[in-house]
Amino acid sequence: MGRRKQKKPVIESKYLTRGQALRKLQLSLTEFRRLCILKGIFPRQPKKKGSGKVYYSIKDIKFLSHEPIIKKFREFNSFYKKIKKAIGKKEFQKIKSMESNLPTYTLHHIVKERYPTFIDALRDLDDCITLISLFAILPSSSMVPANRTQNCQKLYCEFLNYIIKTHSLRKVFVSIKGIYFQVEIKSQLITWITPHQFTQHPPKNIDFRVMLTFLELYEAILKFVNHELFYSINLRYPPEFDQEKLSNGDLLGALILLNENENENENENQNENQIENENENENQIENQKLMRERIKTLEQKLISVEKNEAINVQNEEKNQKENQGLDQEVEQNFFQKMEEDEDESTRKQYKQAQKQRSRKVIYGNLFEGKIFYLNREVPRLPLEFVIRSFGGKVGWQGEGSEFGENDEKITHQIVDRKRIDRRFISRAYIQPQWAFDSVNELILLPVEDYAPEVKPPHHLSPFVKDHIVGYIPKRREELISLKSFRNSSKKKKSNLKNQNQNQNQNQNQNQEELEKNYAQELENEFKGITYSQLEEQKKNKTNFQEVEIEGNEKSILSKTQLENQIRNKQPKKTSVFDQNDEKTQLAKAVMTRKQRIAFNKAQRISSKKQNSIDRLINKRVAFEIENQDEEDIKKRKTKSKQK
Amino acid sequence: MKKSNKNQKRKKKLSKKSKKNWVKNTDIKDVESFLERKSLETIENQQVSQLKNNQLFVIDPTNQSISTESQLKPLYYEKILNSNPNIKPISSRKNKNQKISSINDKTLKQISKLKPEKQLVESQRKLLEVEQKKEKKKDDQVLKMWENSKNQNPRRKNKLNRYKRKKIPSIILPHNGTSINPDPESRSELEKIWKDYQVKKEKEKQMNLNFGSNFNSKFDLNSDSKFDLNSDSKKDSKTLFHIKNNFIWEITDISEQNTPNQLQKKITEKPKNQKDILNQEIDNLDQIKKEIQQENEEIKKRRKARYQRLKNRELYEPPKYFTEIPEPFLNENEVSGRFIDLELKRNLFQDRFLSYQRRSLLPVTKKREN
Repeated sequence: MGRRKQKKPVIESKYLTRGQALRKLQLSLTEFRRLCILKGIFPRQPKKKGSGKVYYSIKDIKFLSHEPIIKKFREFNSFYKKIKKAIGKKEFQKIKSMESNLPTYTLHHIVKERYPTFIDALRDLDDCITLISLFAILPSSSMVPANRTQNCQKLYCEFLNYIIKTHSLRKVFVSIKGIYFQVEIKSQLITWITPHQFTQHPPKNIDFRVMLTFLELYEAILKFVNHELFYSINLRYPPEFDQEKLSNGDLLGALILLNENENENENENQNENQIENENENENQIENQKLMRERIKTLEQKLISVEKNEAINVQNEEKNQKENQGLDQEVEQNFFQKMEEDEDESTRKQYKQAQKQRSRKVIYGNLFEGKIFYLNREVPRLPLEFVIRSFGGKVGWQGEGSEFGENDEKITHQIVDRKRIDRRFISRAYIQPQWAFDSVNELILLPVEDYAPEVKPPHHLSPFVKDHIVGYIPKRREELISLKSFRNSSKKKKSNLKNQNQNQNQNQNQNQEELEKNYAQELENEFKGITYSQLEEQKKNKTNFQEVEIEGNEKSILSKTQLENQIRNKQPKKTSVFDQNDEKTQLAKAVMTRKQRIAFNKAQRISSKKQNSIDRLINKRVAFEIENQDEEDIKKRKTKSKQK
Repeated sequence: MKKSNKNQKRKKKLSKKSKKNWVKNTDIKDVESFLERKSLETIENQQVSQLKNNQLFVIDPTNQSISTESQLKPLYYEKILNSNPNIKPISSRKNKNQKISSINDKTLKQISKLKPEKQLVESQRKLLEVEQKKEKKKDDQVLKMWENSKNQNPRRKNKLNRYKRKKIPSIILPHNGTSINPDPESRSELEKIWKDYQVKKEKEKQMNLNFGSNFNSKFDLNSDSKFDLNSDSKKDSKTLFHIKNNFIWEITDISEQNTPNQLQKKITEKPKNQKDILNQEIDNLDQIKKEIQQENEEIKKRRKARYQRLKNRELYEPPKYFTEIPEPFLNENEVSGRFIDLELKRNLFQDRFLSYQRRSLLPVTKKREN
């Protein structure tokens, strides 16, 4: 009788430790790490945890064993052994000849394996672009050679130029760590961080070999993505760089964007011209002879041809006029059919096309017609990127700019200093935060708040959704009021145009309103409400915001009144479950244990949130009371001075 | 006569003993001719002298000489192939285009060696253009990865879920308090989060220190008396601690510890007279005392060293899981809203490394100071 085989524990049957994996694949630790990062295979955490070791699944390692890059790693090792031997023997000529035979590999198959479609690659572009923008700013060192940083700079510039051309930038936020950008490409949102333009010194705690392997993968991915993006706009890839501008430090402007077919046509024309020049001399003589003979016989025919041409011109003019009208009618009928079409798919496509057109109009024309000038102390790359992506023009202090400081066309000058010696009246002096805030709100904010001598208002993050958090800060309320004011002013302008057409309608509406007011006044008389009471009710309904906009004098409010005002403006959540309700108590009694645990957990979370919101409101009340007291003191001082 | 005999060539004596030598050295021509004649006679039923010339001889008008020696030997592979015509020869090269590229490589090398001042010949110029176009097409073909993605079948479900998208995002959206010009409410919220984080850390440290202090209260490093096993105060604190696999086990006193050999000895030993026992003990007292002192001193040293190591090291090592660190913020004095006055709080390389550990792309091996 054979012995019963003991079953292996689950960990041994499904997982391998790192040492076991290395022995199986016959690789060193550095090579194994590199392979795992390139292929996207990472350690797993088994449910029944053994000793504190790193585990990999067996299936992943079997998948790794079939990778052709492993052969290249082994070729590298043998190659370097040969070089070491040659160095020991001092055969330097041999080394030079061997350098040309260095084994190379590409990551095309890995990229195709991990991202079979273009949209899969777009989804994972966040990390890719952050790392590449990080390395683009690094100075060259022993760990990071200059070629890698230059390659990163080029790839990053190509991506930014695509965004500028398609006006696909949506949000910007400046934080302590860096500047956050959000972009929309093919309905996919991509966010990344760029570091501030200070010299970044890499820290010593971090293993740079790991970062470089990630970089290698991401460079390959970005290259393919850029090609696809440029191809979609009919631009040539890879583009060329202007070396003079690069040396001056102008990264964005150094790119030369060309259409795909431009260069091919140029070469064809050059070849054709060469051939023509060779044959012209021979044919000229023959043509001259033929022409002389023809002219003698074609006098009568010329007269008849002239008559026919005059008739044809008249007919063409008539047809053009008719066709214009037809084209317009055809377009109108086409779009009407699209709207009225019963198929939802065609209707959706029409709406999507409309949305895209409207987005381009909105996002591409914010800074249209505006010319910006950047001072030396201002970070140039992010501001240039933001302004140009919304339709503006940029100049800066230094070489390579299209215009200088004394140009009269400049409308805005961005300054980061407190004091300015020389000023031009025709332009507005602003801080760089103005551009970022106006881009987030999609309106041109008032310039007085961002003057160089003044502390600018708070810079809020556009990624935070206040209605979900439950607390709206003060600055957000001001921005909402500004937006509504601008939109109402636009509506008024549009109404003025249609006023003449709708005069009759307005007259009828006025009559109806008068009748309603009369009926309401009768009701109030029956109830006993006086006219003065009505006026007080109206004043209380007006918002705190209107008081600020209309009048400069702020009304001094007590603590409770402030709290109530702030709470009324916060978003109100309609909670389905109120503990005091009978329905909730009945539902609780019927719940299972799991459901009860989940319900209690949700209530705990909501209570925590509410506590945090209350805490924020109390802090805001305290700040505003301090400000009120300061203003009181200032007023009293001014009054005493006047006396 | 003798001279004539001498002038004659000496004939070698040929042996005919074996079959091989007999076949080699005998002349069989007479016999063969006789046999041929006989075979002809039997075929023609006449004697050879009576036959006509046409019957005996045939004249070949062609000039082919059918001598085996002059005929060239056929090659071995031709034999094989002729015998089996289904076997086709293998071509020397797989693609015919390789030959063309090899030729162009040579011309390209020659062209590269030429100086730019020299004018290229038309043929060389055309070759250059053709090669440049091919390289461009190759690059375009390589970069066009997702060209036919629309026509492909929808992606099959990866059974192994190897490339499943991680739910944790690579970049966490920023908080309002992390901006260069934050509002005071959000900035104070971040301050509170940092304080809670620091309080947690201190509590963990105190937990370890308290556990260590329990050691110290019983086995105070400064007081040597606690390490004496024979002291009276030690009788109450009989328990010792042993650390293994990050767990702490209790050990009884070493003096009371009875190994199995000791137990056997006790059992096997016969009881002696009381007088003999006392006499032995009196004689061996000094030696026993010395031995006990030496053992105690060694034990003291070992314990001191062990507890000093444990004090520096955290007893309860945290598990190798990722611990989230809150985001940085500016102090009240540092808030200005300008890029000039900005002070960086955290390095982005560290941030990236943390994100990889958060998504379990890299294992958490050592506790790094962030």
